[in-house]
Amino acid sequence: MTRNICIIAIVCAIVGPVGLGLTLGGAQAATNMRVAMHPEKIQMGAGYDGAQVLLTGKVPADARALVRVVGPAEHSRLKEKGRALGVLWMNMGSVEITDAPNVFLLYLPGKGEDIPGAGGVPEAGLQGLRKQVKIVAEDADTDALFDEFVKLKEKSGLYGTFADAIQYGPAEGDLKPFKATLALPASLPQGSYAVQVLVVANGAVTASDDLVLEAHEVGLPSWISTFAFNHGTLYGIFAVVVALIAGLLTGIIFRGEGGAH
Amino acid sequence: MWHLYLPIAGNSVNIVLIFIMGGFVGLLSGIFGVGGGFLMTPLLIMIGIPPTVAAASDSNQIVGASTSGTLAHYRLGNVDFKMGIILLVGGVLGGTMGVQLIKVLRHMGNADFLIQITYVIMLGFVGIYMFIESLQGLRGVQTAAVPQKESGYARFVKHLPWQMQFEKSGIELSILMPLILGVFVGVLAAIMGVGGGFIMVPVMVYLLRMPMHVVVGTSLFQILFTCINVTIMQANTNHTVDFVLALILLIGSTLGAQFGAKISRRLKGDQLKIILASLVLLVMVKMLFGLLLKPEILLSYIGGH
Repeated sequence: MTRNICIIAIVCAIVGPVGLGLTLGGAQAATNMRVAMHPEKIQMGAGYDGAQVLLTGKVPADARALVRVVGPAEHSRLKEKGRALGVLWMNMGSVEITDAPNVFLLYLPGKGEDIPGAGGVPEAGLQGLRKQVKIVAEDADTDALFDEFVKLKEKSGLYGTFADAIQYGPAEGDLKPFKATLALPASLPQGSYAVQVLVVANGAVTASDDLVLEAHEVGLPSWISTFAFNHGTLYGIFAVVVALIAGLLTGIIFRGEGGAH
Repeated sequence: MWHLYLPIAGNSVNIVLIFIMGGFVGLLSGIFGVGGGFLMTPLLIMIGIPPTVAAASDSNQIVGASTSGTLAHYRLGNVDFKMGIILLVGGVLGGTMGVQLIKVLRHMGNADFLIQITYVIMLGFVGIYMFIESLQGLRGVQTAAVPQKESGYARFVKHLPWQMQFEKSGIELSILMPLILGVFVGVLAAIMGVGGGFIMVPVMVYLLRMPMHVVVGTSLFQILFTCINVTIMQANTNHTVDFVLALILLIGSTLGAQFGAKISRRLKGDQLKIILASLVLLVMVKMLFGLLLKPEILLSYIGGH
């Protein structure tokens, strides 16, 4: 118990600067949710293929919990495809999208049919996100562009809504325990993510709690990234030399095994 | 357990799948002397690698595949180094011009359209011509037709200055021919963002009149240097070369290229040409559909195609 309180205290201290401007109107600060997260850091080593993060805590017995994983806001420069000469689809207009998080994952307790309405709280889902995102384009239909942007993000696994991700235990007095299983994609960029637990009662968010989840490369991937980004030319020469050696080696091996006529 | 996390691509991939893809493209590379860039890059994008990383890592992979392929063809006596080096000089000149051209076009805002249309037209033209020509060859129609057709073009070529003997290919040509054609292919390759093997091969066969088996080895030799240049440039400026991805691909592709070179030796020139022609036409049709059908997602990130 005391450990959980400690974790909350530490997490709250860290969360402050990571606010991301994604706070919900009317939501109050958490009081007694006692959310614990495991693991608290994602280590992306050579074997990393997405991660599962487990959240446990308690919400009022008559409320529900939603969880969001939100990344830092980014600026995206995109091209919109349109019809040229009436038949050919090609990149036509430029689209600039700002204040959209690079990652936006929503985990719901309910079934698949809850996904479009974000589990009865549309504001917590893409609909809420739409209001915050700024889109500058020649195309006036920015709502349609937002939908296309979401599709593009969903394809790479960085945006998504997942049903059946939160289970409840039997109520203990006024509270009931919940367990959320957050599946994070393999394509998750390195960085600091806000894990937001939203308590929902009567279709409105009544409380929320933010935790911070760090994702960082370790081991071989970390070494390669550092090499590639800090010593680009040397890395390129290294990559070429390895390719040359591998090519020559296979050539020699094949000759050894004999089949050169 | 067969997954591996790739830091530059920022995603995890199935090692076995990458290995098989590498092997398949390497096989084609060994048989036809094409770098396979026009096949591999779309395959990598399909499995979730960002387009820019796919293209750059593919260049790195081709360095290995074409080394192995060049070596195999060299042993079989199929590399015309003299011709390869002249084409390469032209190719580097053309490539530099092409990059500048693309810059200007991007500034004007219509580069993507030009790139895709160039692809469809070039692939269509090359594919159909090769297909028909090799079909005639297989049926044995061609023997009578060639000597009469040759006169105009052949006379022009013979009157160019600086004639040079290319012993390996068994032809005599003006040094201007491979140089100018190298520039031409270099410009196109830079515009299309590929090594240019699938344009270079038909150019060698039909315009330089080199024998098919020498064409393949010489093309691989030339691609090797083009891709070394591209890999280092990409690693330096865009940081898009995923060395681990390239390594798995090239283990598959170097093995594939060895088998490819042996298969290439067994097949007749016309058979080789008709298979390559079909492949080129297939990619052309795929790209044409990509231009004609409404895309699944109307937005795309700037920087890849």
